[in-house]
Amino acid sequence: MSGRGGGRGGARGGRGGARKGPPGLPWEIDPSVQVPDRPQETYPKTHNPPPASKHPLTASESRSVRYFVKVRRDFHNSPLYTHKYLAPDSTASAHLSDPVSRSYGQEQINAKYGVKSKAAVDPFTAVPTYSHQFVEESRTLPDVTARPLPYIKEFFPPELWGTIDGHDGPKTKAAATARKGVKRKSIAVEEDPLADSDDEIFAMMRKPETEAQRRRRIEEAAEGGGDNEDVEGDVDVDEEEHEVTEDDDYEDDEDGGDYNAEQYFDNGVDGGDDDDGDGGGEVEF
Amino acid sequence: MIVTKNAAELCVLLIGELYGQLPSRLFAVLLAKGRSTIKHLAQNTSMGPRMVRHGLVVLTQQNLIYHYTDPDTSITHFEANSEAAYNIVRHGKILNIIHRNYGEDSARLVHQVLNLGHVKISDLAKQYKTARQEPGTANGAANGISSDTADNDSDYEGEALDMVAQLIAVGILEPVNARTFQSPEDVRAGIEKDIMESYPSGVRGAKQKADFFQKSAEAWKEYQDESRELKRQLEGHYLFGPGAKRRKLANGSKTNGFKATNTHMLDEEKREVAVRVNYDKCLVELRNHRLTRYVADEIGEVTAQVYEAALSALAKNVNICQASEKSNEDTFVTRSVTTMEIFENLRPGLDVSSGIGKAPPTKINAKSAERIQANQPGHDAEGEGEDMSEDDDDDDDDDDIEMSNGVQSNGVHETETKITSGHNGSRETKVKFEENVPVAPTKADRLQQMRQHLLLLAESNRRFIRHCGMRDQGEWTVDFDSLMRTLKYSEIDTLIEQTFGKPGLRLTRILRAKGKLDDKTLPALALMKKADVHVKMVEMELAGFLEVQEVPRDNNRTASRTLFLWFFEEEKLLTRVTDNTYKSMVRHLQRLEVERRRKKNVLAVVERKDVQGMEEEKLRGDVYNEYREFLDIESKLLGQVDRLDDLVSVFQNY
Repeated sequence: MSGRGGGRGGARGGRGGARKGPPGLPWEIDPSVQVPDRPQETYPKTHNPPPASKHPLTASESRSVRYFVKVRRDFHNSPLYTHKYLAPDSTASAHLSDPVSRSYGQEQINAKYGVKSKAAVDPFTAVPTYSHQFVEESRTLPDVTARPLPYIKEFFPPELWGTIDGHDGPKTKAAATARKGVKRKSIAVEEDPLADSDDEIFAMMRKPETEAQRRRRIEEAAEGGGDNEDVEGDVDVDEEEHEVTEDDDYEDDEDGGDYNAEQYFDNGVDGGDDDDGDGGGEVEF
Repeated sequence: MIVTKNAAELCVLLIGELYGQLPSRLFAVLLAKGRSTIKHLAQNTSMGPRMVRHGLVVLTQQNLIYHYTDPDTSITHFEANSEAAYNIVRHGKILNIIHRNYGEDSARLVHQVLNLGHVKISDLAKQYKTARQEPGTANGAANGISSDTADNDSDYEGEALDMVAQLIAVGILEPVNARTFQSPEDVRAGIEKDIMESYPSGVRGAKQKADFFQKSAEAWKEYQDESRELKRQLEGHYLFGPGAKRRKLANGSKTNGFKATNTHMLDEEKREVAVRVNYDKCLVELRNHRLTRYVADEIGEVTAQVYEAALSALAKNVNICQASEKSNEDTFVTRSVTTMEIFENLRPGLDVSSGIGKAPPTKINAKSAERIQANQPGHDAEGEGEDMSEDDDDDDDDDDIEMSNGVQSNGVHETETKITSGHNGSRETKVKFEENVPVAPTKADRLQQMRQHLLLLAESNRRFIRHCGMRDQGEWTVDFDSLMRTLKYSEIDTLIEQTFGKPGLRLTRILRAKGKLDDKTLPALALMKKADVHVKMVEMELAGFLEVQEVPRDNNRTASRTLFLWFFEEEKLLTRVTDNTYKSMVRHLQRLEVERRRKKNVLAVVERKDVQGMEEEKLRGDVYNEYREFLDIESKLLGQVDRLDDLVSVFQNY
């Protein structure tokens, strides 16, 4: 209030300064106003809800919770359940108290999930020990065929019929042989009776279908269409399989399987606890 | 259900919690991207199509997605069903309420259905049998049934079939057909397409248009009736038939009348029908429970039990909580029940004489206590007053002690005052009533005392029940619409009071009563200082509880020449509060995940096959204690999620 603005204002180029304007205007300085110039509290007063211990669950509520847990446990023991399987580095890096790190875009979200394949096996824990028989194998793909009750096919879209019939297995050697008609040394097929029988059925069942499909494909090709692979989504899954899956880089089916590193251990040990998912010697997550 | 970001996150977490990682990933993409084909899903999740297909099988089996196959290209489109996903959170409560209302075995059966998604009745019966025969679950307390019969095998299956029939009749289970898996929009579009075929040159002119709409409405109705067909057949036997009453009274505790020769109700053909849980009906049951809790808080435990009986008598006719386009109009009309029907639903062990104060007869204005409101408070109730004054029973307080007298006079009334739409069950109960009176005189006392409770409920300012007629000792109904609105307000009020204190609550209530109010009138009405009011209002506005509207008084739009109108927008607030609730549910589930990580080592041991089920014997002491700690935390978190869901239900679903 002391200096009538001139000097200070001039230094900054004329205008402004603490010049007192004509009375009655909003920017008139009111000495009675106390400007709160102290910094704001770091933790402003907020409403704290009463702690849960003040209102323990009633009998009925805790019974509801028990029922929920029971439903959950039962489903988790059913073959349709898929275990949580995150990418190893994402679990390691994420801080314990912050499991939901931000992710931007679908790609980052997808990167959080792990791909279960032979390549991702932890060599330090993967050697089977006695206690492994008690540990439930973590499943990333529901075991659709193991469900005790039959599916009601009419409620599923035709594109999924192959899957619920169990025809949607990984590309196995027997199937590949049946398709291509290539005669090959079938080491794996002979030594893995479970996978073998499955694949035989698979091959037999798909045989007439491939005929019909082949004819249709030819017709479609004649018309000039046939760009949609999904139409025959019933069984014919293998082509698109390879375009999209990033981990599915075992293309060794074609080269005769002379040296199959994945087979090396599998056939030596036993196929006892292998489910049909990796029966063919190739694990697709 | 409006799928906000939080709601979507919640659905995904719930599916992950119950059904595993693969379905939850797919569901997240389906919610984010909308209708997708397998190819799109594979692209968006960067999974192989084989994996996508397997995940979709699980989702379809659990009724969590809709799918629609285009007949021309035969490409299938999948769509997320967020309602179904949200309902996962209610699984525990649904089972609990079924246990309460229909017995433990019914809950066990519904548990199977929930786990299996949808299932054929015959398969379900088999599954139930195997589940019961497992040594772990078949407890020795299989009451009555297994003890008096030699072979359990046929028994469990027959028992299961009977229970399924009963549950279909009450509506807890519903039959599934292929169209249930299409989204309602697709079904409607399909119907319209079919009808369009009869108009080869398109719909032209007003007449044709009206015709078209009528036809499509009819077809829509037909489609809905299709699924109720089985229920209708069965409910004749179970709900309104001769055996219905005893079964109702048995109510949980199974009597030997339960396994009567009812299995023929589901013949071979019907056993091939697939069923799933009907969440709409379950919500009705949950709403009844919730209302009972409110009454228990407000009036008392005994009255709440009476109210529960009244609600469950009413619930026979209520299949859905809110009338929507999904439901027909006629299914939603709330009907009235008579005192006798309520009495039949009353738990036998309940002591109705307690829980209510006694006042000398002279102190009670019987006329106003017995007042009949034939219409909802909103409607004008003309002409009912005469009926009321005609009633000779009103004069003494302990009216209707002479039962026969009451019945006769009521019988007269019944013919001349067609007050409410009675339904077919009422006449039959009247007959039953007359034969009951001479046999059990104590029953009459009990009935009378129960009636006092009902009158008490009717008198409450929340209008829990409405006394709407005189027939058969009085008819009662519940105006769910207005009742739920009051309850919504009371929940919001609690919330505001907790967050902003008493003054905030007072201001919002004034606004709710008066509508939009200007800056100057509000402090006067609230009898508060202007400065206080402003601070509070701004605080609430920032939190989104209030809205403000500016109305300039002239073209200058200066602040001093502008009116600021405060108002309270209910709809907006409700969606906002619901969304916040979803958010906190999400936080709870995430917290559960953190706790799981903390106790990772303990849980890994507990999940071992040789430990599961007998943790106490197998685990080392300190590990077991840690496991107990985790269970405690888990139940706290899940219990809190359940409570939050109660709030969501009140705001959105009931």
